Amino acid sequence: MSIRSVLVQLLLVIAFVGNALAISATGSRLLVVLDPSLKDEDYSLFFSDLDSRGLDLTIKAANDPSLGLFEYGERIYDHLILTLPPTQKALGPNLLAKPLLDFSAAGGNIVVVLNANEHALASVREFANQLDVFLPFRDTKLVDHFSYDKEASPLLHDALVLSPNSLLAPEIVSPTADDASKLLYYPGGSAFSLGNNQLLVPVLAAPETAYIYDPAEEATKSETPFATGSQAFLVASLQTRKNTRVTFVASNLLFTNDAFTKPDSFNRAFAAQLSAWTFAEKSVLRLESVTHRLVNSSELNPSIYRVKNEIEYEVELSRFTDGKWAPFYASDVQLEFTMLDPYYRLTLIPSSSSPSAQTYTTSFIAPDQHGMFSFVLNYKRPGLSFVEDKRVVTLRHFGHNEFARSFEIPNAWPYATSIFVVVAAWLLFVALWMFSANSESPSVKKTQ
Amino acid sequence: MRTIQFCVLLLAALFACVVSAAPERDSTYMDKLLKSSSINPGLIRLTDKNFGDVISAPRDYAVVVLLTAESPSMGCQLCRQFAPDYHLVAQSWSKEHPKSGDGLYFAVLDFVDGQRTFQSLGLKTAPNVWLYGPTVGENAGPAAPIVYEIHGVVDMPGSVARFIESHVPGVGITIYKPRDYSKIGQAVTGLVAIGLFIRYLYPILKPFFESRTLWAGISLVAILMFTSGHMFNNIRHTPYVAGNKEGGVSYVAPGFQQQYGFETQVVAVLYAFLAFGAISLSIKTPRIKDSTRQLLSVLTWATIIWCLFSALMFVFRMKNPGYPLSLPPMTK
Amino acid sequence: MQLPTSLPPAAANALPLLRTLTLFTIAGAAIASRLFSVVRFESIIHEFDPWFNFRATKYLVANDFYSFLDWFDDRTWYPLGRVTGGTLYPGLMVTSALIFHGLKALTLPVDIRNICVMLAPVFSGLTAYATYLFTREMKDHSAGLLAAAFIGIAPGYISRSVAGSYDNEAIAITLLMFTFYLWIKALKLGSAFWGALTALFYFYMVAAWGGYVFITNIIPLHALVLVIMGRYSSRLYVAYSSWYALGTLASMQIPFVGFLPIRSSEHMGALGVFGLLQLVGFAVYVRARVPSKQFKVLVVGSVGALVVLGVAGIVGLTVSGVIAPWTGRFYSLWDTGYAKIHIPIIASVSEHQPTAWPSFFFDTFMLIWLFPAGVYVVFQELRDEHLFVIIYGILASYFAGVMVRLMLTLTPIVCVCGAVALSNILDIYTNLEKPVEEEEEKKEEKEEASPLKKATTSLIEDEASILSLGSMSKKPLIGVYSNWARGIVLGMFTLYLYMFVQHCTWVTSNAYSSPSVVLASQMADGSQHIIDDFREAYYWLRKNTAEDAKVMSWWDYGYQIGGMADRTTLVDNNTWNNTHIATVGKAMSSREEVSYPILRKHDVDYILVIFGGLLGYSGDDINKFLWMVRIAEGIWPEEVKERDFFTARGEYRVDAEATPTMKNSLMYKMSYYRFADVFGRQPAIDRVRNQRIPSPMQDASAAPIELSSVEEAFTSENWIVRIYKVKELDPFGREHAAATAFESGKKKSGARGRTAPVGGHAKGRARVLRV
Repeated sequence: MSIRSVLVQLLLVIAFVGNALAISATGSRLLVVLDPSLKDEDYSLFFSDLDSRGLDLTIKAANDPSLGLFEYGERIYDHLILTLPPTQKALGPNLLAKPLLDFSAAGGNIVVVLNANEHALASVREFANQLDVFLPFRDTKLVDHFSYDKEASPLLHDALVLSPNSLLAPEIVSPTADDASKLLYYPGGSAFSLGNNQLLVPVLAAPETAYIYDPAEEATKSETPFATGSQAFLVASLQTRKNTRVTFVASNLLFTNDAFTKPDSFNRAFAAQLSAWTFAEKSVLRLESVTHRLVNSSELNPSIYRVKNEIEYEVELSRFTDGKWAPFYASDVQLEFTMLDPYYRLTLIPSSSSPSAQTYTTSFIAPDQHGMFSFVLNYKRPGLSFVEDKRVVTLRHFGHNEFARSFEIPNAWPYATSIFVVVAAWLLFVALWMFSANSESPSVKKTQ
Repeated sequence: MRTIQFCVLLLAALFACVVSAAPERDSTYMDKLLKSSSINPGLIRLTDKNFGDVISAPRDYAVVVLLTAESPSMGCQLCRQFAPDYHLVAQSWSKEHPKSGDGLYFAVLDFVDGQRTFQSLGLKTAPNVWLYGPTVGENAGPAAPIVYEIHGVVDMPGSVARFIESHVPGVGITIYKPRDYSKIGQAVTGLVAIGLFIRYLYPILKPFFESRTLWAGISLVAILMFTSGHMFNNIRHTPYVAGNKEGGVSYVAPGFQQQYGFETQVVAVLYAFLAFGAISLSIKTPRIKDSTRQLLSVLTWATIIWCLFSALMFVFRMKNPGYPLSLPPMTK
Repeated sequence: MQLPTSLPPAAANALPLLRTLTLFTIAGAAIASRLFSVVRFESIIHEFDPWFNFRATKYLVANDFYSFLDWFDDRTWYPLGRVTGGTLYPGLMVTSALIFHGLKALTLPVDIRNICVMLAPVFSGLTAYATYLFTREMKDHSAGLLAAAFIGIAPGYISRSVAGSYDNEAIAITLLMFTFYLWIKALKLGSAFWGALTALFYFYMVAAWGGYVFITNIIPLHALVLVIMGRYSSRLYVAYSSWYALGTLASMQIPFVGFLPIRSSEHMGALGVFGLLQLVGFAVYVRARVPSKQFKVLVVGSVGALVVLGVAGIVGLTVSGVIAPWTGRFYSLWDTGYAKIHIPIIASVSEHQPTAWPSFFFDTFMLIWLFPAGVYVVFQELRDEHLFVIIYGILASYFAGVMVRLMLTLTPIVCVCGAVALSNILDIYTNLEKPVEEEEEKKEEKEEASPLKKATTSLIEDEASILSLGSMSKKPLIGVYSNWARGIVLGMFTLYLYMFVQHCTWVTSNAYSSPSVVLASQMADGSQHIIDDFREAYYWLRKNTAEDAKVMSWWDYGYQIGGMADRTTLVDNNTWNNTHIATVGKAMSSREEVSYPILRKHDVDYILVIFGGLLGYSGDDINKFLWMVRIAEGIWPEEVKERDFFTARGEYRVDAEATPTMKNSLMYKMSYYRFADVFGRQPAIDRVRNQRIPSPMQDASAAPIELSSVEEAFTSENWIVRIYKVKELDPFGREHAAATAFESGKKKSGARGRTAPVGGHAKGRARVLRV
C-alpha cells in the first residue's frame, strides 16, 4: 500500500471530518452573487475557506437570468453573499429589497458586501434602510489622515489599517491573544451609518479620526460629511426576531486574497469568523426542552395549578459550536412568572448537564392570586440567537374542600363549642318547660 | 461714633425700602392677599389692580383664577351654577392649609371688578378657570395659564380638583362637603314638632290616620303616578311640552322610549278615570237601590270606560304607529 | 267563588275538575305563546346572558356538581379568569341539569340545549299555577283562574321567558310567586310548616336570581306594617320567625351570597324586623301574664328602648363599615342619579334605563288600569294578606318606573290585582238573581243624600277604619237589577279580554320573539330573509383560530364568543371588573401606537368588532363607542377624553367632519376599513348614522383608512361582524407603520439620499445618531 493511497485516504478522512464538523446549524446551501466586474480568483482563498468549512457554494454572476432565491415559494438557498454590480439592471429583478427581506424572514442569512468602487444600488440601499442601515448614496471614500496605510495610499489616505482590538462584538468576531498583534487591513471603500434599530450589532467602526469623503463635495466645500469617526461603520450585523442574520460589509476589498495574504493580516480570520457567525455556524442557541410541574409530582406540564402550589420549572439550553450541539452555560438566564406584570423574576440555576445540553431549574411557591399566568423565558444577548418561550398556565383558587377544617383552626373552637352549648341549652329549656307544672315558672325562665 | 451708627441705620433703612419697593412675587405676598380676603374662606377676590401682580412671572406658587361674571345683571346662569362648586374646592384646600396656601391659591376675578383684564385677555365668555403654574422652584412650568374646560362634567368640584392635581405636581385635594348643620337642626326640630303635634292632636287626627279611604287614595295616587312614567320624567328631566319643526307645540313625544311631561299627565288622568270607572262598576253601582239610577250609572260608566280606553289606545298609537288594535270612536 | 245557590250538586262536584282543566289549558296557552321564536327560527339560545348560562349548564352536565361549584373559568376575563362557581346563581343550571338527568333516568335522552331552550316556557306554566294559588288566597278561585290566565300571556312576563331566553328570570318569577303564596299561606295559618316551605322556596329563589332581595325586603315590610297597624298575632310571629331563621341560614349556603344576609344593608331590614317581632312577642306575652299597670309600662318602655338600641346598632355598624353599604345596583334604585355618575357600566346597560309610560301599557294591556281598581277593591276588606298585595303593588310600580327590567316584578301583581278587580265585576254582573226593591230603604237613602255629610261620615265615624276588618262602604251589596246592565258590562269586558289576547299575541310575536343572535328582515316580496352573521363569524372563529386564541371584543359579545366560538375572551357581560373593561375601552378608542402595546400585554390574537353601517344594524359598536370612551375616561381621564370624540359643534360624527381622535381610534379604523371600496364610485353611506364616509375614489383628498398593527382576518356576509388579527412584532425591528408603508410600496423616508441635498441630509442623520 503506497504512500499516495494513504495520503488520499487521509485527505478523504480529513475532508469528511471537516464536512461533518463545521456545517451550519440551519443548512449549507450558499449562494454567492458575484458582480461581473469582480473576478472570483481574487477571492479564491475566501471561497475555499467557506468550502472547506463544508458549505456548498453556488457562485453565480449578478446578471445570471437563472438567479433566484425562491422556487415554488420555497427557499432554495440557506445563505447568500451579495456583492453589488454597478447598475440596477445588472442585478436583475430577483434581488430587489422585498425578495431579500422575504429571504431573511424565511430563514435565510445574508452577507451584503458593498463594492468599494461603486455606489450602493437603490434597491440594496432600500433593503438596508428597512434594517435602519444607511448606505452612502454616492461614490464616497472613507478617509483617515492619521492612521492610514502608508504604502497603500500615501496620498488619498483612504486605505486604513485597524487593530483587531477595535472590534465591537466579541460574540461575532473574537480575536485571540496572538491575533491582537495582527492588523486588519481596510484597503479602501466607503462606510455606512446606523440607525437606532435595537437589533443591530455594530462589528467594526471607523477610527475616531476618519470621515467619509465625497469627491463631489470638493466643489461645494461642504463641512458636513455623511458620517464621521466612530459614527461611520465598516461592518455591522443584524439578527432578526426569527434568528436569521444579516451582515453588511462596507468594502469587498476586505476579503480579497491580497488582503488575506498581507503580512500578519487578520483579515482571513476576520472573514472566516464573520461569515461563520452570519451563516449560523456559531453563537446559535437552542431551547431543547421546557418542563414545569408540581414539586415531587410526575405529571409534566399540567395546564392548571392551584394558588400556593410549589411549582418547579426546568429548561434545557444548548449552543451550536464546531458543528455540534453542546451545553450552553450562563449565569444570567431568568424566568418570569407573569400575569400582566411579573409576580416572580427568578434567576435559573444551572443544575445537571448532558453532553448536548445544560439544564436550568428553579422552583417557587405560586402567588396567592388566581388567574392565567405564564412562564416567560426571554434570553436575548447581542450576537447570540434569541431564546424566547412563553407557556400559559391557569392558577385556580382553593376548592371548597381544600381549606383547613374548622376543628384544625384554634380560633374556630369557641364558635364550634357555642353551637353545641346552644343546642344543649335549648334541649334543657324544652325539658324544663314541658315538665315544670306550675304556671309562673315559664315567665321566670323567660325573664332570666 | 453715633453718627456712623446713624448712617448705618439709615443705609439699612434705605436698603430695606428699596427691597420692599420691588414687587415680590412669592407666596408670602399671596398669603397677605389671602388673609385680607374677607369673602369665602380660601378664596382671593382679585381686581384689575392686583390681577397683574398675582399672575406675573416669576412666581413660586400656583394660582387658579376663576374669571366669571356672577352679578345678576350679566345674566350668566352657568357662572352662578359653577361658583359654589369652585368655592367648595377652595374651601376644602384652605381647610387642609389654614394659615397659608402652601403654594396653591384660589382666586376669583368677577367681571364687575375686572373689565379691563377681561378685555386685555380678550375674553368673550364666562366662566373660565385658568391655572397659572409656578415658574420657579422645582416643578416649575411655563408662565402661560392652562385652561380648564367646563363642559358637561358631573361632579364639578371633583373634576376641578383632579384638573389641578394633574397639572400642579405634589398637590392632593380632598373635597370636604360642608355638612349643613342648619338643615340637620331643621330636620330634628321638624321631627320633634311633628311628634308633639301628633301627640296632642291625636284624638283629632286619629280618624284621618285610620281612615281607610285616605290610605287607599294615597296608594292609588302613588301607583298611578309611577305607572304613568313619572319616574322617567323625574330622572330624565323631560320637558313638559316641546316645540316641533313648524314652530308649533307638540304634546306627545315621538318614539316609544320618549315622553313629555304633558302626555304622562294625560295618561295618568286616563288611567285614573278608567280605574275609577271599574271601581264604581264593581262597588258603587251594585249598591244603588233605585234600579233606574243604577242602570243609568252603569250606562254612564260603561260609556266613559269605553271612550277613555279608546282614547288611551289612540294616544298609544301616536307613540307606536305600527300598533294594530283600536276601539271606536277614536279609531284613527 | 259566589255560586248561584241553584247549582245542582253534580255541577258543584264537577267544578274542581273544571278548574284543573282550565289551569292545564292556561299552562298550555302560556307555553304555546312562547314558541314563536322556535317556530320562526329554530331551537336556539337567545341574546347574551343566556349563552353563559347555557355554557355553565353544559359544564355542569359534563362534570359533577362539586367541580361546578369549584369551577375556575380560564376562558373569560383573560388573564384574570373568573371564579365562576363562586360568582353565579346556580339555581338555573342545577334545575336544567336535574331535568336532564331525570329524563335520562327515564330513558328519555333529551339534548341539553333543548332543555335549556324550553325551560322558560315550561316554568311559565308553573308560574300561572302559582299565581292562581296566590290570587285564590286573596279572593277566590275565579279570580285565581283569571290571574293565571293573565300572567300566562302577559307580555311583561313573556319578554323574559320566551323559548330560548334561558335566563335566571325564567325560573325566578315562578319561585317568586310560589314564595309569596307560601308566605301568605303561612301567615294565614300561622304554621311553622308553611313557614318552612316558604323558607325552602326562598332558598331556591336565592339560588336562582339576585332579585331575591326583593322578597327579603318585602316580606319584612309586610310584617312591619302589620305590627304598626297593631295586627300583630302569634300567626305572624310563627310564620315570620320560621321563614326568616330557616330562609337566612339556607340562603347563606349559596357561595355567591355567603355572609351577605348578615353583612349587607339590603338584608338588614329583615334582621331588624325579626328582632322587633321577638321584642313585640315578648312584650305581648308579658303583658298578658303580668297584672300590674306600672310593670306593663316598664316592659313596653324597655321594649321600645331595645328597638331604638337595635336600630342605632345597625346604623352604627353600617357607618363603621362592618355592614356593607348598599351595592351600586341596589342603591341606584333609590338615588336614581347615582349610577350615571359613579357606575357608568350600570348606566350603560339599556335595561337599566327608566321606563317610559308606553312600555307599561305595552307590557300589560288593560290590566294597567285595572290594577289600581284591584288595589281599591282589595282595600275594601283589608285582610292581612291584602296589605301584602298593596305594598307589593306600590313598591313594584316604583321599581318598574325606575328600571325597565323590573317591569318583570311588576307584571305578576298587576295581573293579580287586575284579576281581582275584573272577577269582582264578573261576580256581580254574572249573578243572575234579581234583587227586590224595598220601600223604606228609599227614604233613608234620600235623607243621607247631602254629599258633605256623606264625606264626613265616611271619614270620621266610618267604622271601617284601616285597623278594622270588614267592608269600607257600609251600604249593603244589593246586586244588579236590569239584564241590560249585565249585558253591557259583560259584553264590554269580554271584548276587552278578547283584545287583551290579541294584544299579547301581537306584542309577543313582534317585539319579544327575536333571538338577537339571528336577525330577520323582510325582503321586497315580503318573504323573510335571515341574517346570520353572528353565528357565521363565531363559527369561523371556532374553526379557523387556535384553540387558545384570545379574542378581544366589547363586553356585550363576551358570552356569545365564549358560548358559540369557544374562545378565550378578555371581558364579558358579567361586568365585575371595571378596570379591565376600561382597558379594552382604551385599546378601542386610542391610536394604534397606543393600543398595540395593550394588545400585546394581554396576548390578544384577534379583535372582533360589530359594524352595522352596511346593513343598517343600529346596535353596533360605533353606537356603543361613547360608552367605551366614557368607561375608559373614568380610569384614564388624561389619556382618553370624551370631548375629543365630538366635533367643535358637539356632534358625534363619523364622516369627513369627524374629529382626528375619532378617525385615528382603532375602533373607527376597524369599523370602516375598506368600507368605501364596497361602494366604488358611489358615495359610501353609513346606513346607521346616515353619514358619508370619506372615500378616496370620491375625492382624492380623503386618505384611505390604513391599519398597520392589525390585519383583517374575516368579515361576515353583511359586514356585521369584522374580525382582525393582531400582527406579531416585525422581524426586522421596524415600526408596524413603517413596515406596512414599505409593503404598500412607499420607501422608508424615500427621499433619503436620492433628492435631498447632501449637507442637509447629513445633518439630519448625524443629529439622529447623536441622540
